[in-house]
Amino acid sequence: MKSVSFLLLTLLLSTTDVACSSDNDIWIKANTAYDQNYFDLAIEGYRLLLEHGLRQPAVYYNLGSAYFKNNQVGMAIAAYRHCLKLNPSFKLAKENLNYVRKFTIDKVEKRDKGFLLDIWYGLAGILPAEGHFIFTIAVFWGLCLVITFLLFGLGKKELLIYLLILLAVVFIFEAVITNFVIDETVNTRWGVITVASAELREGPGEDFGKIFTGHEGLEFKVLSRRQGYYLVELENGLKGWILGATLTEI
Amino acid sequence: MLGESVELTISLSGPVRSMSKPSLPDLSDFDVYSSGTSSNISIVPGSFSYQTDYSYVLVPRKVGNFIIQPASVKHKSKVYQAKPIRLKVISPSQTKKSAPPKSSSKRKSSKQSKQTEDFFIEQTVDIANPYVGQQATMIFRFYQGKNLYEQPTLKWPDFNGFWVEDLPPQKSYNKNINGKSYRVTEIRKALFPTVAGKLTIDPTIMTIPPNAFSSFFNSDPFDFFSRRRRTPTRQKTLRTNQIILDVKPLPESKKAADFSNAVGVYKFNISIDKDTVEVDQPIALKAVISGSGNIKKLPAIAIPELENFRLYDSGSNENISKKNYQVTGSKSFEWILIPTAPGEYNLPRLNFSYFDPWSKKYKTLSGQPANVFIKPSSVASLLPGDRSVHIIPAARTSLNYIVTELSDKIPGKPIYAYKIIWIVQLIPIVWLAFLAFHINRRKRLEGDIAYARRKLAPKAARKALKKAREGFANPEQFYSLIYNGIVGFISDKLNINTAGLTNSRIIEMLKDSGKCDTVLQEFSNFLNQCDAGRFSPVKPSPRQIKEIYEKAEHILSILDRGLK
Repeated sequence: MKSVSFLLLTLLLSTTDVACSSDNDIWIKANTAYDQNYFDLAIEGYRLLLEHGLRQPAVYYNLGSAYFKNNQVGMAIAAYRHCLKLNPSFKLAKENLNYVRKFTIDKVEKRDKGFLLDIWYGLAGILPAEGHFIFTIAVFWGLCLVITFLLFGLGKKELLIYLLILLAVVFIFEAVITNFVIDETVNTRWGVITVASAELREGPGEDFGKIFTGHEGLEFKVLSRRQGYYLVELENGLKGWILGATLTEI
Repeated sequence: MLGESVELTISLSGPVRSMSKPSLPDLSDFDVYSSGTSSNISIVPGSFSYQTDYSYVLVPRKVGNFIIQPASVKHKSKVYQAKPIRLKVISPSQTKKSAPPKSSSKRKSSKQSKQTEDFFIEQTVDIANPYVGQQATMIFRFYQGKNLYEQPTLKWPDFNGFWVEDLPPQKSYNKNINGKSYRVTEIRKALFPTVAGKLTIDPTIMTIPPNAFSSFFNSDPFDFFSRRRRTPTRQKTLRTNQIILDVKPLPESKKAADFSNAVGVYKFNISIDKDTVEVDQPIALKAVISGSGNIKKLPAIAIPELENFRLYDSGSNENISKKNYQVTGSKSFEWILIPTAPGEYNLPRLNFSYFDPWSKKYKTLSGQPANVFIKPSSVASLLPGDRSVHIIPAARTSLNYIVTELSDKIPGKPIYAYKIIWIVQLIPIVWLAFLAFHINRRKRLEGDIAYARRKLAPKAARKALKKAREGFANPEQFYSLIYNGIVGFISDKLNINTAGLTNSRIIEMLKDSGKCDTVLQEFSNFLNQCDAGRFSPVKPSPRQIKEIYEKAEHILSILDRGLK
């Protein structure tokens, strides 16, 4: 029975059929393939949707789940992170990403940044970039409202001045954090190893010495690219060059 | 003697300065190296004589009697030739494998003659018949009886059939040979034969550049002429003999099944970083081979598949030392084991086999890490029928199910990427700026009467003119309103009282404020016209009223511009 279903699904997801199918049909078929444990077919379906331009968080989320079920931890992490890039508040994706990360081999200790930087990164991580931005704008409008009250002489002046100072401090601090978070979100590129293992080398080429062997699912910041190699930085601050073919950029 | 070199010099002399280079005869029985040219000019009565010497180093390739055919040079369609040279090459007097190495230097074939040379080189190998993979150390020595003022260049052989490792540091010491003191420089290389049989190490060739060993300052500082005529020394090429090693194959008997061509003397150690972990937590398994031998070429350790573990190869690392000119060090292999089920496990015994060339035996080392105890995951599973107390985990222990609804909304750009959002943020800034200006102005109007009168003057004057226009049916009232509006404007602008303000006083004040005569004249006429209108019983025609009104507006605008 299962083999018959598999055949049907294969036919449903065959290229010619897909070409005629609407995105919604492909979505349903890919989900059906997932339900019936044909994860490679499901992956094919979700990838087709992405190729059709349907770059929705839900598609990346399901793709991540299908990859994980297909024992492709690195690709699963990449898909979940794509999903969260589009929708940072996608709770299911966050949970799945945390769960999938348990299956990675390399456990990278976070660099000890120091007390103040820990607080800084902690505050920056409370909200996504959009959240920080909206909060900053709200504080700004509040600040303007308090100034208006003061100019018109409405309310208790002393109280308004205290409120003004408080909001001004919060605004300046939050504006700096927002700028930092947006910069991290927009300008920082991330990558993940999507093959069983990959060497991190001292330079962009096989002739350079090996620093260590990273395994599937290892995540890092991508700093630059040269001669088919990527200069990457791990969370513990270690930098090295890794062959482009072994990773997926997020 | 075979392995040594001779120098062939072709001299061209004559009254012509430039001649073509001589063509060499067939020298296929020799290795030929050019060692440079030198020129000399001599003055004979009535003419100049030029001589150019072309020097070549010939290294015979075999023993025998040879005739070096004459070199030829063509000049003005005439071919010039020298005489043929006979050369006898004899075999070396001692064997090469175990005897001390021979140096090569030009014109010297015996030990005695060598000892009179200023420079010679030799190379030796410490083991004449090593096993495949065993380290044999080649020692190259450069003997110099004179100082050199330029670095000689070395051309190493290809070392075909060997894996080569440099063995720093270079060593220098003094040695006395038959009463002559030499500075000896030693360079060593570790050679690991990769195949069995007779392997040849070709000669190493050293080239000492021209003039490197004849100091300019050795000549008489006062003999200027001789310095000018000093014949420069030629490039010198030294050559070692070749060495033939008889490399023994590794014995076939008692060879371990898992032997992978490791040769040397080694130790083997296995370790794990943790012996107690939870399911899904990684354990690092490490195997370290240490000792002396070709560490870089040590084979990988084989590890079997493990039940209840996922196994990941973490690669290898080498740590090489060349202390005492011996290649030693360690190579470590690491694996990551991820346990998938709880329990106590014996990790497999790992073996490493190598051939010890000193004891001429195969040896197998093995190691087994400590047992590992795998605990169940701290995130407990809720098994059916299990009545024990379970902690329900806060984090998920499985994957969330896929979503089945596809949103119609395609996620767009983040909110901060829209320009309009940033533009909207200007609204409160503009609002606050306006508010601040307005409040400031209001406060000033309230506190500064002169400022208030000046600022409100145009508005009041225009109001008066407007009122006059509406009531122009009454000419007296019309002229009064026009007059009062204009005079009021001036008094407000100049912050003076209107009481007692006469036309002549107004003109004077305007004059003081810098108004030109034309304007003043115009203004004076206008005031007179208003006065005439006010007190004249004749009713002005609508045309006259319109003219007066327009004139009043015109004057008001001039005064408004002038009385800031």
